[in-house]
Amino acid sequence: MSASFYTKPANNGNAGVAMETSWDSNPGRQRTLQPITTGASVLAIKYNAGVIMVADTLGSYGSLAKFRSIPRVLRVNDATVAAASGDLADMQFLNTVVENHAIDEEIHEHGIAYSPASLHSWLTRVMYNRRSRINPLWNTYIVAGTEAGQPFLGYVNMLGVAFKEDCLATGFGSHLCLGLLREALDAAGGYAGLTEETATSALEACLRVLYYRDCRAYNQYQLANVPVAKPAQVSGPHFLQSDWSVAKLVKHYTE
Amino acid sequence: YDHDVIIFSPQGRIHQIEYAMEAIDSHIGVSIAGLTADGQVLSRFARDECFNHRWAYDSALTVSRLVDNLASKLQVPTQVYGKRPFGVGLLIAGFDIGIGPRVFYQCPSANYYDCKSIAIGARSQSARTYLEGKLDEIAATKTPEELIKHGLIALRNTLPNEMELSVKNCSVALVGSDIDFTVYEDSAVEPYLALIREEPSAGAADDGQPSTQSTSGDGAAGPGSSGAAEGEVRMEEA
Repeated sequence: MSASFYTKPANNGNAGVAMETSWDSNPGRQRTLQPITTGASVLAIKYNAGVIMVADTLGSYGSLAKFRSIPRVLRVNDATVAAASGDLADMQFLNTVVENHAIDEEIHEHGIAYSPASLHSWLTRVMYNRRSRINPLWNTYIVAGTEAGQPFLGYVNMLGVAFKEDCLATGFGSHLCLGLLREALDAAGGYAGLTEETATSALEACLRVLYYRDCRAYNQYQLANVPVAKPAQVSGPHFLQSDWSVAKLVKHYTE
Repeated sequence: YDHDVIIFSPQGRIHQIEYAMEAIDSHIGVSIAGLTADGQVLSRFARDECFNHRWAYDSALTVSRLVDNLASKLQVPTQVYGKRPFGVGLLIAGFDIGIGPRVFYQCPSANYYDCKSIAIGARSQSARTYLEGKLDEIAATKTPEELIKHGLIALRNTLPNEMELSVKNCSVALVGSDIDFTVYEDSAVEPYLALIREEPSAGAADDGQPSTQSTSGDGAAGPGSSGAAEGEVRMEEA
């Protein structure tokens, strides 16, 4: 191990902060400083026989709703799905790696398919490692699926913070919708009392709230359902009905 | 003549070659026949692979994956100038959740074989013959004791006339869905040896004649040596 603790800053030194990296010898290389093309919230909730996850299909370019049909939900295998918010280039990069891992598992003789818990664990290691090198993958991932016959739901963000829960949301969703999802779970006495229909309508209601209130949200989305006893299914695009008739009550609003 | 691995004894034996058996992870173990120093390098590598996989993926590395990684490592010195192959044969036994028990035979050539049962080492042919004849019976075993009985009988078939299986020259390891890889040595082997005492010697599968191999084998019965008996045997329940 020949890493040095402190290196004198190079010509354009990273705002004066020296890092032990190969950046000095490779000045063309850059770190992620800000996300460029971004995806908004991802929402997910467990129900009595599986787990459902939704994400809209918008790729925003700042405030411009530039790409309106970007799939953000990835089917990894029959028991695992994952979706990401944040920088979509980073998401596509990581998704390619995950897909290749999944293919590797499938072709390896007697290999077992990636389980959602394994994917969640691996993702945590990768995200935390990138964060520790001050070059993050600017995403928040939600991993959902079936683990040892039970529904699984896990969260990992760009800081490497990871946890598992019965309902999860990223970005604006965590502010506007997590409370609604938790209320749905409480009303059912836990996810074991929640039906697929109730879970789906709860998620749809949340997406509607987001479309009304999050300026970067969209009304077209994908839905992933992983029942414990059946293969994962990603469906879409679904279209969200919304009612803007209240707009005419807004002062200075003209048709 | 056991000062160095490159020294042959007058009888043409290399005393540094031994047998050893050890756990790699809670669900995998290996037994090593050959240069134990080389075996230690490979054991350490195998443990590392298992640990790294658990750390990254929070799950057990499947036996076939481990063997694949080992084989890739073993292949390198068979194709690089100036290196020599690892001087060990390995039997890798483990249990994968969702797949079942697995046994692999890894050769120094880097070839490996996925086995239902296998025996390697000096005079191991009689053990293999016994196992092959009993494949269906072995597949039908219901308890670990029945399985171990077959293993020990196979092992006993490899012994020369004057030798007997005892707690001093034999060890048994078991791994399965409800048992982590566990090695039974010394007095812990005695209950299993007791199981085969009632069984006739020279199992039905061979021709009843004691082995009279002329190839010189490794000296497990040599002075001061206390390795496992010749011809390690591994089996799996189907």
